[in-house]
Amino acid sequence: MIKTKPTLALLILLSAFFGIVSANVIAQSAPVDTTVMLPSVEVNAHQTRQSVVGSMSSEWQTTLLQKLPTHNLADLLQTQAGTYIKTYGLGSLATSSVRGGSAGHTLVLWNGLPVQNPMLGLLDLALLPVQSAESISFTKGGNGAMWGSGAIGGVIEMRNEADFSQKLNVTSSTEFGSFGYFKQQLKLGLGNEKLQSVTRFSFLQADNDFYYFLADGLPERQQTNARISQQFLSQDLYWKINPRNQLDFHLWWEQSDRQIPPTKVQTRSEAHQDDLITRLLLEYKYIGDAWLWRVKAGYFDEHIDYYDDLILLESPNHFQTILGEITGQWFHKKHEFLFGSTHTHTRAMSAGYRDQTPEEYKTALFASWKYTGGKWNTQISIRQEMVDGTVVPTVPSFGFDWYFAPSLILKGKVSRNYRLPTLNDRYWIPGGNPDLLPESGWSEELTIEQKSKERAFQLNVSLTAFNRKIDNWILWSIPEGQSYWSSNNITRVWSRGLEPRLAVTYKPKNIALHWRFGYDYIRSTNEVAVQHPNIAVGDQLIYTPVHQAFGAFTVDWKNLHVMYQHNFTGETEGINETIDAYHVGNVRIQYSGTLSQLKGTMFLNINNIWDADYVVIERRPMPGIYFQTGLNLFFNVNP
Amino acid sequence: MKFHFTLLFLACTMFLSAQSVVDFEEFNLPSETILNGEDQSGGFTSGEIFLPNIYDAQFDAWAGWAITNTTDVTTPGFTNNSAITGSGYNGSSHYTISFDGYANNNMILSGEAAGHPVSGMYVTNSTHAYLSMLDGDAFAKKFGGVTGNDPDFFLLTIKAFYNGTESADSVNFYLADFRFADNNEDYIVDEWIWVDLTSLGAADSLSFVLTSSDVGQFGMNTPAYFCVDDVTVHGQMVSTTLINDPDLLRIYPNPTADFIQLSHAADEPMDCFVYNASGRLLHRQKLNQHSEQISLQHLPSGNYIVRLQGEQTYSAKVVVKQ
Repeated sequence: MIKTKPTLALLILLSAFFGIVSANVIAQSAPVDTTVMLPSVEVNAHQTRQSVVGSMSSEWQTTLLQKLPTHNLADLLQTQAGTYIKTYGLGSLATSSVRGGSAGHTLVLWNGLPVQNPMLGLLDLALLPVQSAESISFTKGGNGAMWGSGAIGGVIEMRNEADFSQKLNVTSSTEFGSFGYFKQQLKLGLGNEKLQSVTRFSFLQADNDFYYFLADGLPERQQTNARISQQFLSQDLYWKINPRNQLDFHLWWEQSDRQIPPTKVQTRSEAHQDDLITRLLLEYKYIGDAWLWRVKAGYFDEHIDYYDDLILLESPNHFQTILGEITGQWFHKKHEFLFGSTHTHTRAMSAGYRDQTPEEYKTALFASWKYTGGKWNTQISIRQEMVDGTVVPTVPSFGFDWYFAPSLILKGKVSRNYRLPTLNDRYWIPGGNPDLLPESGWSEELTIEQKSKERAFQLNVSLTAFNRKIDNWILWSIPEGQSYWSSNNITRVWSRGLEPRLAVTYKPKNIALHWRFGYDYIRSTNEVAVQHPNIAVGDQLIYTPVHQAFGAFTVDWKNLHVMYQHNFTGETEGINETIDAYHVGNVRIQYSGTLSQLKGTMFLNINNIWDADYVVIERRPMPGIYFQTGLNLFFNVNP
Repeated sequence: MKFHFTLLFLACTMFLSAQSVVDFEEFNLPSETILNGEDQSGGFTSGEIFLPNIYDAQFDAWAGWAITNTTDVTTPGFTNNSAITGSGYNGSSHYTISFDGYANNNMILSGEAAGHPVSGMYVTNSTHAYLSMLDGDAFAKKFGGVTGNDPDFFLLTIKAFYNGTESADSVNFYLADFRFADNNEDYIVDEWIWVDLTSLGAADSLSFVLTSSDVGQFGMNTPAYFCVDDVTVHGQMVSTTLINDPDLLRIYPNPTADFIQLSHAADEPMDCFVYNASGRLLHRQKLNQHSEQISLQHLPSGNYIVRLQGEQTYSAKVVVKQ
């Protein structure tokens, strides 16, 4: 059921905000493209599946990623998109909450395949180095019709694509920093117009033995058992058999050993988590005059082993997933049709499953029609999935972009979305519930956006209002008459909010100034009272701040790049106590130089420059001010 | 004659106030063993007390009470079911450990003990709870917090029930108390402490509730364990030990939706008791025949302990109400 009153209220606020902003910033004068050009079939194919019509999307390319003081996807989303990241500490487990959703409501894709952990339903964003992809995109809002389970709050996609014009390029990056931080990355690109190979390797280690404040009058305490060590290797191979046929291969191998430090109220910890990840993907593409076919086969094998030597606990977890997918796209004038089918088989092993070895079979059919007109773009999509022989809700979506005035765009989207229960939700002993229903509900969003450009000024301002209700929300609880925690479809969550964004660029001759600002107002409340855990109707979800803001100011002058980022996270509730609001500011100073075909970059990151004493997770300390410096070298031989 | 009546009165008084100490030593377990209800007996009878237990075979987990003689006082975590003393009271081998998995636990009195005050019992911390409060763990805080000044506590509250009526008084025993202005006085119990329960009056069961200052949305973070030994109840020092006959009681269907059919082959009159998972008596019925039907219609879904007891034998089973 779509509630109209809150949506109307948000619309009024949206109009008011836009009126104020547009009156005070640069008047639009330069014409803005009102027709979305399709630069190539390949890019267009991505856009259709990504279903950006009606949604706000951000994208970061390699060149930009190299300028950002971010190591992994968690850093990127937090500092660049203002996303709330729930992190247990430097390099520790990090998950996101997008638009008031849970960690399992943000879907992560690797070259178009979902890489969520099927046992937990989420992905540790700290294990996704940003340098592993050529580009990363982040689309907010429901996208279940295209991507299926978990695409409720947003979709992140990490992509690797061939550049057949490359001959040889080598990138080396060496970084040092506080708390024993050391990172070495190598990237080797090699190929010709037929074959391309990209190899990436990185090694990261850090002791993370920072000192943190306990209380007035007490000496600072040094963090212990916080060491991390990560190795990453990826290999991308592209073979353009002929102009119409292409074969791609991608390998992702990663090993991560992370100690888990004690809380502020824990004397010591000997816990550690070891992850071993192998992902393989083979993709065949046929590019016809009006057709594009893609066939993908993927194999994921992941070990997540948790140990606590102090309490003699060993918890090995392992899953294997095989994926197959076929999509076809047909282009006809301003119309584009996409249809496809995806099949997934997962098998998981865990001490928590005892003697069971759960298997899950998922099959989905999806289709989409996209119209790209002069003033209107629309997209209608639908998906039907079947899990272990049971049909899950049919999820449709409708989105539009309306270029209703020069430089003004109105975007809107209505979609139904869902999240399947995880294997732990279904099979964990005790408490797993095989009869769980998927979480599902409707999302609506509306964005008004202004893009204008006049001489050296460029302005982009937008306001998005969203509304979403998810029924059958899965919560681990103790139902009446039961004596243990179990997973149940017992509550309903209503999320709504406003997301104003402002970006201004001023580019006179030798200098470029760029300023970005964003604010999120998010109310995400339980609509059903629960006794265990103790949740009342109207309670904001834990670890979901109502207020968040971020800003960044960047100066590019000749070879110098200076950036200041600031993030504000409002007060939020944890499991045991209230977590205070906090501000964190980061600075990056980067200098680049070129010598023939060799380009070098030196940088200094000053993180938490105001030395803020804060926690993201209660009882889990975060470091004060700390530094990182490094040297990046790029060698490029191209025609 | 007056002298003889006086002697008779004193003898009667001594008989009436005779005390029986339940020390669990008769279980005579092999060393480092825990009796956790794996046999689905629904609990343990020692002397004239019955300690309910729910064991879930599928989950390999127990709650309620277990009998143990384990001695590990150094290993933190839930896998350690020892008392922090490393032995029972006064160096004895056996004692009982309670896991408060159902919001509270109960101890059932029978025979001569029922209907009289319980004198008291020795209580101490489990190693799991003790080390968690001392050092903190991944979920629970170190008592006192980062400064040592947090007024933390771990409290055991004991109440008596008699004929379904709760005692007006309760006995509070702090398993840990950090509420003192002088932190030097803060303590976590690490020895067997006598808890006097005579103020509770006559009882046919005792209830035990744990509360802690370290509590969050998901309930108490402090591990909900404590240990008990040498329970002193009213009764003869040498009491008749009831014989546990696991084959005596048959129940079907189990699981059940509404009714259970009980059958037994005892040669003596039997009483039937139905307890919830925390040991609270919900239903009592004298059995007139060897097979009778009992309704569970009015009870919510969950696990229940059905116990038959006569003068010489008893038998208990766990019933699942769907």
